[in-house]
Amino acid sequence: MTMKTKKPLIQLIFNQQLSSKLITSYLLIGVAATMSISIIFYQNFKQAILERTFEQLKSINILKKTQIELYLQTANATFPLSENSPEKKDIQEILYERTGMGETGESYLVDKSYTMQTKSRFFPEKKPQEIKVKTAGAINAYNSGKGHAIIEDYRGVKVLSVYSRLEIPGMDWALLSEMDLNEAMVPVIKVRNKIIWVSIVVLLGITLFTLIVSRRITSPVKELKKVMQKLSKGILPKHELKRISDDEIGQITSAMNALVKALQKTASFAHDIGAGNFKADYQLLSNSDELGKALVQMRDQLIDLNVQKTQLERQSKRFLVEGQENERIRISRELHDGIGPLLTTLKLYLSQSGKADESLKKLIDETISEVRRISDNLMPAVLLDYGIGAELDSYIKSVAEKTRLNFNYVNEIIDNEKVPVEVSIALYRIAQEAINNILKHAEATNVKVSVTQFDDRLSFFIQDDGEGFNLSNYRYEKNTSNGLRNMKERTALLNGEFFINSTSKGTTIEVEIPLS
Amino acid sequence: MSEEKIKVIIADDHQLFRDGIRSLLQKQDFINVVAEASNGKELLDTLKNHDADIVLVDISMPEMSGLEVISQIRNDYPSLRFIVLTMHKDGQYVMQSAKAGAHGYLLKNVDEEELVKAVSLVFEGERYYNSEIKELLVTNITSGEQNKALSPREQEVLKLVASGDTTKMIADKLCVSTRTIETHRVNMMKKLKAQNTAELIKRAFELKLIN
Repeated sequence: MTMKTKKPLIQLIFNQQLSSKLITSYLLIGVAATMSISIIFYQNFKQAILERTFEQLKSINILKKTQIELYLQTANATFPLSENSPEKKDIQEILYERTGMGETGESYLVDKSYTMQTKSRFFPEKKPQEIKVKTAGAINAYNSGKGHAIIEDYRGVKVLSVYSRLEIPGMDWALLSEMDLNEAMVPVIKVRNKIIWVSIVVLLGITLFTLIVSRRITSPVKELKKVMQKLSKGILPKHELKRISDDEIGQITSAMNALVKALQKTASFAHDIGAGNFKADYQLLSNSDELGKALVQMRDQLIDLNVQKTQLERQSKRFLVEGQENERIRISRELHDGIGPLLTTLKLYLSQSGKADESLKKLIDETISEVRRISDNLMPAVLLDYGIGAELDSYIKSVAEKTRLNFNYVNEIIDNEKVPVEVSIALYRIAQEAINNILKHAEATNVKVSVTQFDDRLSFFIQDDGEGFNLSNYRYEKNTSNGLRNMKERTALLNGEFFINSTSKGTTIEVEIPLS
Repeated sequence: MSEEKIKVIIADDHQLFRDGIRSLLQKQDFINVVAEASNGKELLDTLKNHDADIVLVDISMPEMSGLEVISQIRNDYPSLRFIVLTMHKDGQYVMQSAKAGAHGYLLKNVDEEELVKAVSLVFEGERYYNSEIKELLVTNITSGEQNKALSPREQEVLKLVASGDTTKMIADKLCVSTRTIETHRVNMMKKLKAQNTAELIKRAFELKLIN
């Protein structure tokens, strides 16, 4: 395998899912363990059995050998022994004694020419001499004297062979005791099969166990993965994760739940801030809660900015209004002090010249009155020179003269020096607006008006007994709604408070302006 | 004899107007315009240098208003008499003029005859306030001063307090904020030197402020 193909393979392994990894690992371990144990055990067992069988064959071989040697010592035999000699028959008998040799075990004699000297168990009709035994066992017997080995016998069958050379003078025979390998292996095969079955069962068990454990481990991890994926998209899960175990995964699950809760709180706080609710409270998750700290800072900054903005707005409106009123003062003064005197002088000269008749004088008088009226409408001189208390007195008097309204006016201005001209002008405009509204809409008979000076504020109060109006339905009359808004604005600009109440029995307006 | 002539000083910041008044007055053989001033300060200087019986003075002048001048020099020149000659047709100004010590009040678009009449009358020791002007003055009922007695509003509040109403109830009845009622209550206690509501009501009864 080239490096190139190796890499994707490794990648493939690493890219497996957690559960696959777990199952594969466990299974591999299980298989490896089971197999190594089985194999080792099997090998050892096989070895033991074979050794045991060899020992058995060895003792049989020694026994037979001793028996034969003893017999031949006592018998008076002439060597070589003939085929049908009784000695041979007796030796045969010795060898026929096959206890402990199983089904395939036999002991037999061979001579140096590698021919059988005794009958073969497997070819009992055949004459021994006809069977050639040039096997490794026989050869080894003549080479090394005695030993044992697994060889192919004269039939070509694998056998356990124990061989030894007989020590009989005059004869050079070798005694071989052999058993089929297959027969020796029978118990081993039995055990081997048992091992296989047990291994299979164990492996199944391992597999089952692995599947269960793997699922138990990976399913919370999968849940965590889902939650994390959601979080990475900015989605906050609605439900808590169930904590199954007390291990690290369980702890992570608890921590994840806590994290989600905290994020929800933070998100809700951020949402509040975004919606303009700066009163929202937030508890930092810890001393190092960076996001939380940043949000709190942002909120506080926004509050400050808001306050600043309101102040700036107020200030700029105040400047505007001040500018407006200053303009009015200027024009009013110019009318009063500029045009007025010219007109009076004109009248003087005219009357002196003798050319003026009554109608002309009257015209000039009317012009002077008109100038005075316009000037007063713009900005009353009394307001500037003597304050709101005095001006309201004049103003109400003039209104009362022109209408059928009954006015009850109380002036409680104590020290006009303490009232800023800004405030006086604002209250005057408010009073103008309020009285205008009464004239236009209220259908009232009696009006109570008062202006009161306290140490810390000025209070203006006006109440009529007319028919009232619907406070929530401002579109009633565009002018009215603008007028009310105007009154409220002027009050707010001076940091004052505006109260209005209207029932079918009448309307009440109260304005409080603080005095610094 | 020139001794008989009424000596008049005209104080007004409008040159043309002064000229007009001057020529108008000079036409009368018993009036002599002895000097002019264009503002309050100048008037003070002029008075030092010129003897006069009557000063025609405008209210709105730069440097010092006419009324300020009047109140300042009344005592220095006790025989001097002032007639206010102004555009202002408002009771406040009339009242303030009277307070300052003016002996007459005329509108600038006054007729020649009325002007001469006023000068003569004031010279003879009378005060000149014509009916129109008087009307402005008389119907001026407000006093800017605080008096020991309770204001009408405070009386209203006190009556309700005496009848057992709570601050909230009173506020609702009078359609004002509870803070205003509280402030009235506190002020009344100060005015009548009471330590608590019970004392307040008692003192008010004693002083017959409520019945």
